[in-house]
Amino acid sequence: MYTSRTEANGMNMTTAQQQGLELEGISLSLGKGGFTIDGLDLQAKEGEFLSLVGPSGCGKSTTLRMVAGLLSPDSGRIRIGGADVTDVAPHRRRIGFVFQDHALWSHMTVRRHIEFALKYAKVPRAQVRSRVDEVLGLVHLDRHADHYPFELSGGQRQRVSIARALAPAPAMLLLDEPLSNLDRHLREEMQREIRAIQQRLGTTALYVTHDRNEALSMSDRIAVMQSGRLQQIDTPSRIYEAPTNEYVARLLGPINAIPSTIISITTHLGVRLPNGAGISLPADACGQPPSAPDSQMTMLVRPDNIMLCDVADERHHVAGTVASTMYSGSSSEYMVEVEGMPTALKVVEREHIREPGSRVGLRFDKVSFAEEVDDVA
Amino acid sequence: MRPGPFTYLTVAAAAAGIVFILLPLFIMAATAFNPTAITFPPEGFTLKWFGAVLEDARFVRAIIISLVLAVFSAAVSSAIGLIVALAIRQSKSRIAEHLSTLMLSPLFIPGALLGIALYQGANALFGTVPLGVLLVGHILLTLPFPVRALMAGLARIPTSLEEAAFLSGAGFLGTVWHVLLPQLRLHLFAGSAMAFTMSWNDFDLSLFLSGTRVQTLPVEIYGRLQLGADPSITALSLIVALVSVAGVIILDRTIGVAEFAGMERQGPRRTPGGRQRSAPSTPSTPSTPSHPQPDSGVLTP
Amino acid sequence: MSPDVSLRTPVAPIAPGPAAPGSPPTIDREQNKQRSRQIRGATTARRLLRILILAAAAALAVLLVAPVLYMVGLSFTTGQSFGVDHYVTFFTSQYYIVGVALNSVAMAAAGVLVAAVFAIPLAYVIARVGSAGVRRALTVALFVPLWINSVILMLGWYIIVGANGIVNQTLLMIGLIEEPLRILSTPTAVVIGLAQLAIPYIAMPLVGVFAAVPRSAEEAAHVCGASPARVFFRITLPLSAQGLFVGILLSFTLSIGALAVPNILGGGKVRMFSVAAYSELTTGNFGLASVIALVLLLTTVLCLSPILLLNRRTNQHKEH
Repeated sequence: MYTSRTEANGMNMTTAQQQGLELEGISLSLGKGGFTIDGLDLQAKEGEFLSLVGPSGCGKSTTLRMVAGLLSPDSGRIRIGGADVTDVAPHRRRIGFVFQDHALWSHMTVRRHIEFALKYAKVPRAQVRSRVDEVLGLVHLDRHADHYPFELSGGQRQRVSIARALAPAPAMLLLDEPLSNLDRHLREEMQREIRAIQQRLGTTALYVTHDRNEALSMSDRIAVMQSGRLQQIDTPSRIYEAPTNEYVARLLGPINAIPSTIISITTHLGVRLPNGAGISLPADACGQPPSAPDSQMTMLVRPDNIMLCDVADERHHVAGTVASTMYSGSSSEYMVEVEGMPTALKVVEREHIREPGSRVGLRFDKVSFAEEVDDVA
Repeated sequence: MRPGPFTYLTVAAAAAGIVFILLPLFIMAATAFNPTAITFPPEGFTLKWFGAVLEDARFVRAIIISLVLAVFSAAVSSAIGLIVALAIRQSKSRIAEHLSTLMLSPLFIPGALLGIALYQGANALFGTVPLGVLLVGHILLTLPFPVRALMAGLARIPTSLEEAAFLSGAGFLGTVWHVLLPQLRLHLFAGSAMAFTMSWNDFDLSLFLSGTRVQTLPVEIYGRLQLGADPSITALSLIVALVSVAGVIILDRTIGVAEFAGMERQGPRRTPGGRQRSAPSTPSTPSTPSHPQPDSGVLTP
Repeated sequence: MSPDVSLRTPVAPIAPGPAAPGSPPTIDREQNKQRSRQIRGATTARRLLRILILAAAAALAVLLVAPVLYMVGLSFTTGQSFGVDHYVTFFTSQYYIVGVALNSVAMAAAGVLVAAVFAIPLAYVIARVGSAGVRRALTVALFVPLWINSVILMLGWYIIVGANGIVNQTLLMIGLIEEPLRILSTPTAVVIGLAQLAIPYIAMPLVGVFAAVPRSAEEAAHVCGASPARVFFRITLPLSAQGLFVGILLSFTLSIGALAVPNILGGGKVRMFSVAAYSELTTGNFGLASVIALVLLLTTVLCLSPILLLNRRTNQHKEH
């Protein structure tokens, strides 16, 4: 029953190659101090788990609500499962929405919540009972079917919300920061569960979050937004290792941004660092390679992609002094000052062996290049 | 969300509701300018009826009586209300709880009932209904409003403020004067304003307790209506209404009508009309009476 | 002593003074005395307040309860002797039971019902409207009739529904009727008047109640497939049920004892509790008037008790 959603929905497939979600040229201007979304294009494949990440106010929730139909774009088209829903009212779009505050109805039992969703999805009455049991089993709430929301814990309430969204086998699942109100352990457990359920059902999912770890761990792809614009959309590992700009880089983790000059681009990259040193990097070590020689670019390096070695070791690119260390159990973080570099570099290592004041050699294992910007938000 | 038919229907019903409750006011106001009779639409425009009002001795006397009653009741019930509210705050005894319920009872008891009771009582004691009883009736009627307003206001002041003052050396009176009263200024004003208006507008109670010479304004208007209506009544009514409307506008500018009537949901208070409140923003822990329950709104009449 | 000085002066001298061993360190007596005075002052003030509370309670009891008791006494008095004549008259005569009691209830119910039809959408619009300016305007508009004398408002309606009133004028003009409709002095007019008074009483608390229903709860239902109308009736209203119930009950209670409305718009012909009591009083029939008043009081208390019980229950919930 839950395997072929598109059949269950009776949706018209208008294109042969069907995308789970398509946003085309979406524009929306929120007057009075709000930003503008201008010409946003976004696609998610059928069955894909796509995260929308960004700080508060970047437009991710707004975009999500447009997909749900709770907001109307000024222009552009929205297609879910191949069907154009731009002019379709929210209650006819066959989507499931999980709210941040779980939005449960205090006057209904858990079972009634699911029945409500099924009723308006026009599921035949004979099937309702079995579907309720099935979806409650899916979220491990079978024993709570006749409880009211006030009798449930936070995590259980969110599961009801998820079950309610999934019960009618929607074409798409939309989640608006569903786990922000839960404590850390519960959050991690729910992340695994949500992902597992989504994969099992194969429902296309659009997941809005401001928590980068959540996005990195759960998603098939991540879309980073800033001020209404899409900055980068890529798989978690690529977007982490090869961010297109410093904003995206910083959003997903600590990053070292080193202004540098590109000297040459061949099989190896010749880069001159601010301290004058020239280094050579193999081309495949560069996530986003620079475009042209003689250009000023920002070199972005993750702290865990800088290798520390002995100064005597010849393989290092630059040498520096350990300024401070911070031990956090599974790793150690060092701030290393390199002469001639504007800021200290952050390096993360598994072993805790460097002392402050010691000289070390640094080698850049994986880097990415971005256009130099004067101001990074 | 695009508006659907249900939305349009709802908005239409709401608009109809507003029209419904404001219609008599406007119609009546318009007829006050009608030179001929109390009809609508007016057949002309004249201000002569307003002049007639001022020349009518009975009207003028009624205005004065209502005014005096309103001011007096507001003052007395505010004073009593302040004392009672303070006392209830200090002691958490059951008596205090019951007292507050008792104090608020005139809100739910129809005014006519109070009037009948006091009428019978006065007749038994004095054989007649002296002006004093009318005053007492008005005080009883208006008592709930300052009490409720001040109780709500006091509930918003955390006890730590009093304790701080006390530890600094202020006595009880000092604390009240220097700490509590300044915080309560708005509530005191709101409560008195409400008391004034309730007394000014009262008909049910006053009908029973008015004598042939002593009539409050609404009773006087009603009496005239019985005798046959001429537009001086509507002129007078317009004046009376304008006083009330002015009161509402003042109230909205200072406190904000919505918060006043307990219509706001619990949450950060909004500053109405851009004015700053004198009361500090207290943490939401004290269960303030602006929780959505009709009889615990701050000042629902 | 100013707080400033006392801060810098330690209560006990730092160096041991010339006190005998074993005796307590020298304490500033002045300060101590002042503190005791303050504490005593506070306690005296508290005692004074407690006396005041009792005095206020007593005064209110006298003012409110005594007349009622007196009325009870009157209700049992016929002529010179005690008897239940008045009660018999009231409860056996159709004129009173139906004409007054049931009529009051019917009128009040009808008025509140009509009011609810307008007040509920109005409250919902105010609670959900986006523009703060519109919301304030609507709130003020809702508030104004509350602060205006009911006599004046009824005067307005008197003009509107009278034989020469706009309603009749318009209907005559359109040609729907040939003779002016008689609306005044009929139950219809009274219902209109009662609705006028009830609308703000129902709408105002309802706004807070609707505002407390989270928008996400409504959106969730909407996304699940319920149309806006279904969302309102299956989600919003049930979640607001308690507040709605209390508001309606309150309006109903106040409507039963209405005086201005039936007097002015009902021409004295539509009989309700207060009207009947008034006419009995003016004819000197104190006993019967007392009975009517007491029945009204009883009905009022009966209608209010659900509210009080609900309040107590929700307060208990809060404490848990």
